[in-house]
Amino acid sequence: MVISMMNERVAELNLGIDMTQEIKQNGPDDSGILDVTYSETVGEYQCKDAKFSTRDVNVYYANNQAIFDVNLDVGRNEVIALIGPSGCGKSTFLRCLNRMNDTIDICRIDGQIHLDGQDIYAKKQDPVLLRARVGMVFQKPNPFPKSIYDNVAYGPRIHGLTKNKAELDDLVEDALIKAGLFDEVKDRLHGPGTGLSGGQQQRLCIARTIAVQPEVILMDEPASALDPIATAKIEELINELKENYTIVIVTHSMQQAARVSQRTAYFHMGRLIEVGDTNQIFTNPRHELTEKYITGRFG
Amino acid sequence: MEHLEFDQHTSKEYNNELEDVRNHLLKMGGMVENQLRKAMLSLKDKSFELANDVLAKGDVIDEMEIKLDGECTRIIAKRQPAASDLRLIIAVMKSITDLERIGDQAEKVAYVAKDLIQLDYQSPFYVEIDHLGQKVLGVLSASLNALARLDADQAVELVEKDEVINAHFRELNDHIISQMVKTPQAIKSLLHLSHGAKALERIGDHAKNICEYTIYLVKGKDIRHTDIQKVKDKLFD
Amino acid sequence: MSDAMKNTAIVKSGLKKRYLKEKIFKSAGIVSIAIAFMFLLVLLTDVITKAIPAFTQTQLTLTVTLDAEDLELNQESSIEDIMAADFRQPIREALRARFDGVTKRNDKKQLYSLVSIGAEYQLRDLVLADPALIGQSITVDFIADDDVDAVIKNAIDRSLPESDRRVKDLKLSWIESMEASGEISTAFNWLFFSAGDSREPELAGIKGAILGSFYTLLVTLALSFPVAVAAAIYLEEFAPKNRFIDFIEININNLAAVPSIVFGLLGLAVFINFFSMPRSAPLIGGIVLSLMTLPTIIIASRSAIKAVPPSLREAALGLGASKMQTVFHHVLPAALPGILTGTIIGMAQALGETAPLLMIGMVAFIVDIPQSIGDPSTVLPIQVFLWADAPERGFLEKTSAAILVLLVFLISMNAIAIKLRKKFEKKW
Repeated sequence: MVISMMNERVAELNLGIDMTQEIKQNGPDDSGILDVTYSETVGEYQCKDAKFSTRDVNVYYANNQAIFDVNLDVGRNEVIALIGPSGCGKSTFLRCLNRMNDTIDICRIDGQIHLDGQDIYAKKQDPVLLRARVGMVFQKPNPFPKSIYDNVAYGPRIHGLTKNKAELDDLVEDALIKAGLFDEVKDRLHGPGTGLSGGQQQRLCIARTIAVQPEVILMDEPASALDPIATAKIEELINELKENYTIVIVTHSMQQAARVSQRTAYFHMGRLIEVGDTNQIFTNPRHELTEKYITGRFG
Repeated sequence: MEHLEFDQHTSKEYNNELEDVRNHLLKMGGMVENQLRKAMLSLKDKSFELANDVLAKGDVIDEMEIKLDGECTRIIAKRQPAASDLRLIIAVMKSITDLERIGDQAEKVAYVAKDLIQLDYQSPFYVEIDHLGQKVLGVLSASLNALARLDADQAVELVEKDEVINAHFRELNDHIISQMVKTPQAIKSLLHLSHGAKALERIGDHAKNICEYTIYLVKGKDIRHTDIQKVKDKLFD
Repeated sequence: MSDAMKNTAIVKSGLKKRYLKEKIFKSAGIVSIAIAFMFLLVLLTDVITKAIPAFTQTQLTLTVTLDAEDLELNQESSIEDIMAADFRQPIREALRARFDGVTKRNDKKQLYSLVSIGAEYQLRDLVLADPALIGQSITVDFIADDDVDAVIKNAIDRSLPESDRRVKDLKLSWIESMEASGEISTAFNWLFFSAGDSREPELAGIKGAILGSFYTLLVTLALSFPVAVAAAIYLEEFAPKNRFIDFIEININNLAAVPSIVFGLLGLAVFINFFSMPRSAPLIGGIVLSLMTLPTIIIASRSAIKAVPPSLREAALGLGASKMQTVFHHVLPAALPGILTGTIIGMAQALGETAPLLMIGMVAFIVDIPQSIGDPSTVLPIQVFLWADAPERGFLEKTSAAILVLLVFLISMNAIAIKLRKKFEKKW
């Protein structure tokens, strides 16, 4: 009884939206949700003190467009979570932020992405320098097949951040302490990094990233391959890191996004549907698609 | 986010659980409404049996509250509801507390009815208190309907109506007090009447709470302790 | 009957057939392996049994008198004088002394041919090492002639009628007489590993071919490994995806399929005729073989580089490593086991290659042992080819022995490949 009344309301609402700008989603129609019409991003995408600022970003893989007109600011020292169903473009967008997509030949990027007001896709911007400023942690823990020490020391070594062995030792120790791993590995710093557990490996990867002293850390589903306890440790680490770093995290776990982030951005079919305060997104999302996603109504 | 659908989850089990919670809530609402109706009738008709019936059913309502609370706790533990689902669970958990209180107040009315029958008190106030009771019953019934239909517009109207009930109660209470002055020998009966009226006024407040939860559920905004005009401007254009 | 039970019955009825199929397939596999193994066994037994006699040498014990006057030598003679002296006479005298009454010229010739023509050099080397021996009588184990060797090793049937026998009755009686008195002995054939090629089977050794192969492979490795790895890295990691690169890729694959003799012709035309490089030298052989090995190593290296998980590259790039640093710090070490395996397989191929080397003159009869990559030499497979072609009975066993040596080299190279793989594959 209630449902039928609500359905009438849905019909009314859809009619209202139909009159605004309507863009039919194209692509594989698998769940019926793709017929939902779409207009502009809901919510405040701008920040006063933006670290990253993206405007009208479009990404194409050969002839397929993966990202459509994304406008999003990332505030200084905030944790922003990018959520959305698989293939929604959140990882692609993340990888635009440190130009990791450069390695893919068929990938083409339109629009502006500014880091501290400077266009990172400008000709004079060097991707190596950019990646030293914007570190990245990947989905699968991927330590180098070297010792724990060498894993962390690799970044500082290639960038020449330290003058001598003692400084490098300090830097490695500092990074491991910050990553909450030092106590667990201090007796086997020269043991293999791949011999650690999955959670430890991921924290080693985070230590390796912060050893380069970046300004921003991008995390691409950093805990998706880990058990709940290791996940909790990573989340706690993110909480501590946000004091000093700006963190952009892509996650499939909505609870994780809710727990670690201050702002949440919801992507769907390559579009930024809604962005806003995490508390608001998880209690009272404004866009129907966001609501559907975070309450588990997508097939 | 205007329309809410609780039957679109990927997990059918989850759909069923939410549907159960809603159904149980509405059932509890119906029972409470019935209690109040019977309590009013016992007062009006001076029916000892009806009053006893109301008192006997109080335990059933208490049990329902405990059962619903358990269901909601389980859903939170198992499903970690978010957004509208979360608001539904919160609204249900809060509403059942109010419903249980309404049940208690209805019992209070039944006690008043029994006391007055025992005192064999005869007065025109019966009609007046019945007026107030019918009004409260109407608001309660409408509140539960608004909750069932997730009708925020009706809910906000009902929130406003609480003022009318309060005014009616104050007026009735003034009458009772002046009657006390006039007929001090009937003070005991009049005091009972005043208690009954107060209980009805409280039920109105609880009904208002339920309306506020309904608005929270539908609109996602907590409007408690907020000026109603502002709420209307903000949420209802 | 319920659906579940019906399904169980259906599945059950088909089970037998499925298992039968599995059994047939398994036994077919076992039979194939057995056949392959049998062929290998036949080949190896044949080679080994034929090769074993080559590792022993028949020796004749003779007492020779080094008369100073006859040799025109004394204790102070210079090395040149010793080299020029005729050491044939003392041996002949010793033989005549051992068997009196041989007077006919033809019989004498037969008698002298009991010992190898290398015997005089054996004696000369003894004197060179110790000039004090001049004027003394010494007992020496001389290398027997290949006919004697054949008789002792029963390669010549003594019971055959004289007319069908290579060793005639007279000679046989001498051999049997010496055998009876214990003057014929057999010893391990060191000469086979320390001498170069020779027309005389009993003097022929494999050292020249081994060194020739070694120098050739050295050149091949030095040329093909760096070039191939560099090419593989460029193609996999740096090359843009365009038609030109596709064209190059196809041609590298085609190169691997070119018959090896064509590379030989190329070497002959370009290096020897055009650049006038030394004929028969390991240098040319190595260059030609590296042309042949290049595509093998490139293809193996490319697949090894391709197999390096992209997460490793991402990790390095994400830290701000440049493309070059990523490749050399991470991708190459991870791909090294595969690259090395491919290299050694290519090298093993090159080791066994004959045809292109024939074209550049490494088939020449070369007695001297090569000292450098510029010296004329031959290689193991060609040595096998040469000996297999030689008419003397004694070369038959030498051929098998050379094949055995070649096989030992190939197996050890493969063992090294496995070892290297294990070493570098250590996960960190």
